[in-house]
Amino acid sequence: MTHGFRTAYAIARKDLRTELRTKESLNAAASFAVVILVLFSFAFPLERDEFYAISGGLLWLVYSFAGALIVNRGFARELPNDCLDVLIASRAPGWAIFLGKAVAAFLLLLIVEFICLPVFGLFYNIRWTDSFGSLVLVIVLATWGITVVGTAFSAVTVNVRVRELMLPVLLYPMIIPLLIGAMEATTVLLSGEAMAGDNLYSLQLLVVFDVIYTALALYLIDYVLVV
Amino acid sequence: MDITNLKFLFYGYSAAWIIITAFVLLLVSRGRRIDRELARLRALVENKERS
Amino acid sequence: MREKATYLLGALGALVMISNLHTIFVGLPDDALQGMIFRIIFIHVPADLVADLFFTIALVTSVLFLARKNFIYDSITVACIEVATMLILVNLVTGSIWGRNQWGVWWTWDLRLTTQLMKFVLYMSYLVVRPAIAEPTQKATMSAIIAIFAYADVPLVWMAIRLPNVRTNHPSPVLGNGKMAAVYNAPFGMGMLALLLIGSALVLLRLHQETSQREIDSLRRELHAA
Repeated sequence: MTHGFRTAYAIARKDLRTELRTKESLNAAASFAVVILVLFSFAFPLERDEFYAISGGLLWLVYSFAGALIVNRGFARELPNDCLDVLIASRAPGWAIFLGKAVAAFLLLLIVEFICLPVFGLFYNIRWTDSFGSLVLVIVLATWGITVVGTAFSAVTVNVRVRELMLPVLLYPMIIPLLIGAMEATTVLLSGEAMAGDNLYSLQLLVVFDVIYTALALYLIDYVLVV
Repeated sequence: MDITNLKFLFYGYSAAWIIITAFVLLLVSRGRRIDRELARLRALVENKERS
Repeated sequence: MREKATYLLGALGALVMISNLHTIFVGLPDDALQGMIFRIIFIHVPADLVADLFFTIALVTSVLFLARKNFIYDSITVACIEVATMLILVNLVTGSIWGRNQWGVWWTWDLRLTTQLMKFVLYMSYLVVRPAIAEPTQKATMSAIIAIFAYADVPLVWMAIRLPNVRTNHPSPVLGNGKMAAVYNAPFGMGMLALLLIGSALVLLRLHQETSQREIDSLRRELHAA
């Protein structure tokens, strides 16, 4: 068990280091996200007050687009030089490889998200600092959901011919409940409402989603990797 | 009974039947193609074994 | 033999369906509130129930495939999912037409409608991705995993749609709680039976094709190797 976690940590660190040095997907995801943010202001020419009602939706659409770009690289990064085969053949347990990759993708996506958040607030005149603590909680929970499902499907599609096309086809329908919950919670928070009472339901949904899919992915990943 | 109600009932059942029929036709045409291909390949393999 | 059984099932299903149509259209009184249109329930609801049954079978066979690595389970999974997705489409389209008549709109983002649409989209992605995987073992394994993930998503969608205090338009269930007049029970059961028979026949047909396809693939490999 400790061996597994150490392996996961090593893999996460390795992935993060490669990514922070080359900034391949990081640059792509961040610039793509900003472009989408700019485009949305033309797609929805609304007054400032009206923007609060759709703020959560906007933000999570951008985040999920960026997320697909990031998780796409997860296992694909190991394809050149047959690194993936070596990883699988090594003593590292499957779940540890997966966990390491998921954590790395999670942190990368968080970086992109926290780059976008001020840009978002600036473009749309939305105050996001008031409820920053709760907002971070929502972002962390939903981002983990996106990356855990995304990394699992990145492993599933790694040997598919048109990988870049198939990943979004699988990913987006699967994370719809998560996105609904995240959008709802974010809109509530940005509109200045308290995260209490009925509003807590969306947080519960995020937690349930994370628990179910983390468990499923960790359990099934051995079947995905060893075929 | 008003007529629009009947009209939509008709649409509903027709739509259901059209979807099912289309699916069956799709299955049948695919089945034919598969059977033909299977027969062709079996003949090929047999020829190879004989020669 | 198996082929004959398949056709027999299908024919039986069609027969039940036709005799049931007579009961539905000639034998039943109109609904007090909806008039004639309520008769759509006899295909609308069974389509969903039969589809859910097939999805559940597909979940079980997916797990069995991962555990036993027997390709027959993969074939059953894909056969069930394909037929069930078609039935969900029937459910969606009949429901939409009913909605246009009763609510005045084709679609509304209500709890049941959204869940149903999600099921359709999720399993469509299964059917789209599957052919893109070339290697047979990989194809079967990945398909099984997608099927399991998709099944787990349905209750979550159900949970998610309850969020923004959605006001639902959908009639509440009338099954099993005595809300449906007894006179409708028999045609409803017959509708279930008919779709179950037809659906099973289609699954068997699809299963047969899948095994043939597998034979084709192995023959091709044999020819290549020789």
